[in-house]
Amino acid sequence: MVYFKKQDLIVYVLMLVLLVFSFFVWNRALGDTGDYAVISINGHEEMRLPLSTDGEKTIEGFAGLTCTVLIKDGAATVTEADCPDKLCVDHSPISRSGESIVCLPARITVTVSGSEEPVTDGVSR
Amino acid sequence: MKLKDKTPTLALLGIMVAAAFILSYLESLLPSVSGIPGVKAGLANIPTLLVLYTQGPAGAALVSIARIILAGLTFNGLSAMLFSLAGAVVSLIFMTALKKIGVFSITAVSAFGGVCHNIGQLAASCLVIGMPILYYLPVLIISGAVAGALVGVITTLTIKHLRSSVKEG
Repeated sequence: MVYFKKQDLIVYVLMLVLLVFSFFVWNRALGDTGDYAVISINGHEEMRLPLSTDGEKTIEGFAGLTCTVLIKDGAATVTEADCPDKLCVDHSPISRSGESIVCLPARITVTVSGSEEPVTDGVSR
Repeated sequence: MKLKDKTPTLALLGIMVAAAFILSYLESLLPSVSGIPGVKAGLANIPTLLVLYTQGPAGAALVSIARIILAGLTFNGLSAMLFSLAGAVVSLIFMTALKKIGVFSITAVSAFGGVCHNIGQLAASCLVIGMPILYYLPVLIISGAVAGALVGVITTLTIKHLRSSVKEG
């Protein structure tokens, strides 16, 4: 039994190709400085907060778990959450279009979106 | 499979499910180094890989799925369990295929399995949460490859030491 065989290179090259491809996906998902923090629960858009206005908002997501989103200096962060892992709280502030913070247990995403106006006004569905 | 061969297989699978379950628990205690959901060592996949190489894909699927359901119902939570299942199914299919080709080392098969696991898991979370989560794809591919290779090396060592007690398939 060996840890490495010459043929393994095929597998590693294949993974490298996947990685290069993933950077294209990443690039598309990530744009310039955004204007809105779009907050979605379970994939449905709940509200849009303009990044130009500082403020704080507490959102209740799946299973009653809450996240507090802070908008400051044109960037959004999650400052408080009562989910068990707190990964969303550890995430660095986001400001570029396409960047997002995800709170998996609460099924909340905070995504920075570009300047385009929302199709609906955020209240109507 | 002949009937008289069944008992050792059952015993081994039972031990492997138990080992995977404990490793799952140990891993849930480790703090996340990266702050990115899904980036972890995947130690619980050592028994799965070991069974894949000694008992075949059916046993590996059994160990993997039993472990995920047990961990999901006890400490990981239901949503994590569903994402995990998606990742496990994708990675098992690809690892079985790569193993069938027969020319690759366990390390490479496992590294690819790790990548597939993370892609499957991300695809499942995409369905629930939405496309923006695709932003994590590059990180998850790198971490899946590194974690998978590590798991592969450990499994190779384990199989070497267990050779007298587990038959190679």
